Amino acid sequence: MDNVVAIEIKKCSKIYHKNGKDIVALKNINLSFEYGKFYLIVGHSGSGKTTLMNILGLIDSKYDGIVKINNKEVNNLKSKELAKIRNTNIGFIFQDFYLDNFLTAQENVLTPMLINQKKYSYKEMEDKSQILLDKVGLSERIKHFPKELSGGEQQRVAIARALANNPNIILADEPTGNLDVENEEYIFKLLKEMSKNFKCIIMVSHSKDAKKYADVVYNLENGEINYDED
Amino acid sequence: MTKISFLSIKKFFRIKSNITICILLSICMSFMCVVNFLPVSVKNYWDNHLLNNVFYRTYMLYEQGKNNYIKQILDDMPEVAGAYTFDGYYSLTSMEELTDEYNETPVIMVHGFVNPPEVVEGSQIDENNKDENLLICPNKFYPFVRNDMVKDPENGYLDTTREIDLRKYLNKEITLASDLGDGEKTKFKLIGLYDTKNNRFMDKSMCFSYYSNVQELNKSAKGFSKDNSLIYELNKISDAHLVEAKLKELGYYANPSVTLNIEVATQSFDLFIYLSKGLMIIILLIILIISFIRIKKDEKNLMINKLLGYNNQQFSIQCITNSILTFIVTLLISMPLIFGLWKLFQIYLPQYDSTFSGIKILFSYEALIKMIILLALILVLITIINIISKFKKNLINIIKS
Ligand SMILES: Nc1ncnc2c1ncn2[C@@H]1O[C@H](COP(=O)(O)OP(=O)(O)OP(=O)(O)O)[C@@H](O)[C@H]1O
Ligand SMILES: [Mg+2]
Repeated sequence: MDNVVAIEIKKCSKIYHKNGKDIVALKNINLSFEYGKFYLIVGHSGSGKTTLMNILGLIDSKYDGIVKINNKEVNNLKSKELAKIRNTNIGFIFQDFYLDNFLTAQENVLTPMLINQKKYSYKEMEDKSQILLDKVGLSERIKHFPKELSGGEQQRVAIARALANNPNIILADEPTGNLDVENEEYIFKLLKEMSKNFKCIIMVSHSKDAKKYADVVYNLENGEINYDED
Repeated sequence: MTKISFLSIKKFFRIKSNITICILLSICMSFMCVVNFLPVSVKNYWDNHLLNNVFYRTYMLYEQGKNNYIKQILDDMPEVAGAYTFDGYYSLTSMEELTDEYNETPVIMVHGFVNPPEVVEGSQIDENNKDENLLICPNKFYPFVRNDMVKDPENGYLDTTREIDLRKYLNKEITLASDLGDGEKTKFKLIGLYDTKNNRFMDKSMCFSYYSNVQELNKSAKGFSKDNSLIYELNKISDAHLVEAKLKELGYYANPSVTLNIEVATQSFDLFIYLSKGLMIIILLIILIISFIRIKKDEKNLMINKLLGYNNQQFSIQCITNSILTFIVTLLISMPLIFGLWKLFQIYLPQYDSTFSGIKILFSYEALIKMIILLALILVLITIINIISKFKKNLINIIKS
């Protein structure tokens, strides 16, 4: 599986138009991300990291350039098809967890499976989500609602959810931004382990420790990749 | 698909505001439903009691701007089974309805406070049609006629400002001057009198014949009528039979049917109807406000779901599931509420409002079904708003907000 390209972006630019002003968030970026590797994107605040992640995650579709996922262009896909790709091929982890507060940990994890419409029974989905929660060390917390969980636990639920449909690409935008050092280490290790399972992990992080886990580090500066550092 | 609904159902019951909406809706809906039992009950009552044996109850009572005026008259005159009050112009349409339906001029019964010329303002005396237009008048007559129009009775004008004994004018043609405008004159032949004190008719020769032209009346009413509503006053029915019998005895035609306009019944109905209409507006407002608040609050979940790959079809299913649940829960809460309110109305309404004394408040499936349909319509509206608002939202925009 080595050197198989998961996501590739070519000549990618993003300009925000705000109050008649143009804000160039990304300038002509060319990058490719391979399976089995842990990518870290660093950069100053406002350098365009989140903007890049949104494009990679098919959240933002208004940009210039070409994005390919599994060697397939996604630029002209309809929102329904993009939703399908997000659901099956990509797992998301955010700084603010983004869990559904009215669903238990287990239900949060099985939501992507429900959306996926694969022919699993509800029971099978529950079992699968239990296994995923076991994996992130929350087997005792499956019936808890997000507000009954600590920040670290919530983020682990979010990770379990990101893995629900066994996607090959994980996008994590500052996943440990709200967590303490121990939880951070736990989550970095989890992500590292996933990358060893031939997943493509792309993480944005301000943490100094993150570099220890990453295989490749990209440094964004004012919307451009600065290759000097690594 | 069904699995998504399953989770939506679980979630629905965990969100308190959903249940609050259901409760609010149930309260408003049940009240509206039970209020609609009232006209149905009254109609039923009249259908059973009066339809076959009461003459046309077109008692033209001229209301002097006070609501209790008519009540007072009716108290004076217990045999009055019902009265169509000519409240300004708008009930004139009802008159039109009556004549259209039966194609004949109804017996018009006038109590002492009525000023006939004013009621039939603009009408022409139809000389060829004298006997079809009857007026039975009590012997004490207090029409409100302006002083300057009072003419000498000897000359065919009747002084209607003072209490007069109409017996003097039996079998004589008299003229009443209108107290409005040009003082148009209306001719009457007094052919009979009716004794208010003893509630008794005197003989046929003591009736008061009134030549009016209903067609003309209708013409003059056109353009003023706002709706076809009638205000309905109820009183003792047994006395109505008496009146009818007396009329027959006197040789006058008693129309066997009763026309009821159920839309607006008694004055107290008005109150309830306005209340229920007001309630409906309040319900709509509450629901719209709550659903907009919910849409705003739900933005985070909307984003999460979109992110995880919900497509528009799945959002629609979620919205529809929610609405169906709201519908079912609201109905479930409504049923005991409707039953309770109904019982409450049954017990306390006759005490509070004499209009309903003797009337059994019936359970109306029609009203219930109407309520259910209304509820369904409201929910369909909300579902559509919800779905559209979800479709419109762009993922990148919600994530940024
Ligand atoms: N919706 C928007 N409209 C206008 N400008 C925007 C918008 N979103 C981001 N920007 C601008 O684009 C630039 C890049 O933003 P981005 O969110 O990608 O930064 P970032 O690298 O993720 O920063 P941080 O580390 O603080 O999260 C910033 O200068 C920001 O002000
Ligand atoms: Mg960011």
